[in-house]
Amino acid sequence: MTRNWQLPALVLALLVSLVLLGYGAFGQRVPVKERQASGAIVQHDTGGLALVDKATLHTIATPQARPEIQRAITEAPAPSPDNAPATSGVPGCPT
Amino acid sequence: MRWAVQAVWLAALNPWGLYRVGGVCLPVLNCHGCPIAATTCPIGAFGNMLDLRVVPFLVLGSWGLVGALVGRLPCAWACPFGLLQDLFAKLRFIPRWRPPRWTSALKYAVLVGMVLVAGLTVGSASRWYFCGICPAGTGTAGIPTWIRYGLAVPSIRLVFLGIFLAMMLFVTRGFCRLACPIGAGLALFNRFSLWRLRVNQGKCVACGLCRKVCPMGEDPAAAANGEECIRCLDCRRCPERAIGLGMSNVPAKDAGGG
Repeated sequence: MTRNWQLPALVLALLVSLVLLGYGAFGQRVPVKERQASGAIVQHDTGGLALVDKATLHTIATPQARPEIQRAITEAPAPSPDNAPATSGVPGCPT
Repeated sequence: MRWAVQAVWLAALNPWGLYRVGGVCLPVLNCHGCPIAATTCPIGAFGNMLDLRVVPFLVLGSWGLVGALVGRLPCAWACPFGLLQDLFAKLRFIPRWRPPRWTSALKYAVLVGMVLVAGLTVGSASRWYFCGICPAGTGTAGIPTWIRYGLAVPSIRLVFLGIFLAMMLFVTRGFCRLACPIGAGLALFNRFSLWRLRVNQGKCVACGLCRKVCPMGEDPAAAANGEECIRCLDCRRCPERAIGLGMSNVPAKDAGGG
């Protein structure tokens, strides 16, 4: 049998989640953040960040995001040997 | 049936650049650092947004919505890393160890310590954040990037990849049980999610088959919908048809048919 607390908990969880999801998807603005190294870090359209460079641009960016990403790449500082490995320490980057 | 669904999800989440799905953050372990990934990993996005001092509403909302609807069901049916572990479990010649129950609490410590606290304090770039040791990140993004672009993978990540692979070899669904922060987050919803296991105690003959086949080491007949249940439905092999999946407000008497 469903316990007394389960249905209210379910309804509450659904409502809170929908509000958070709705605001996160449609209302929230996330600033674009650029980073150093060989590529640039730009905002995912999901709110996350991605490491991009000219080689991977076509694989990780939506067409709408490409001009913005391209601009971020061209404005990013040139890679330096001091940064090697180039992407170490970059948020969201698995390397 | 479950293998087919897992394969479809694997292909859908990693479409080799055919598409990216904007605004979607599914609670499965599939690193968005992987060039072929289509959606965003909730752990990675959570940390990234905290780095920007932005409350990760999108991540929390999608995580909570899926959890409230189906609990840990994505772990069994959609997570690519879960599929990998199921494949490992097919290696029958490897002896399996069933860890004590208290070890399941480790994944909550990972969620709180290496995601929430680390994200709020040292940031996702730190080695203390979960992405720093995530086996999916190392395996599907770090190593391919290393091979293709020559960007070295820190040795600590390779060490943890080895540890997690060993864990998966010797403990069925070992990563899900002991370390996955996404599963830990979904597990919080298991007891009251909309869709969950229904057990008809009147039909149960306590044969123990459901406990024997459960990959998570649970005893569905005694305690259905515990935090470890991933709704794989392997327990529906019950010869008495006492276990089924249904909505939370439906009486249990029809569980066998569900």
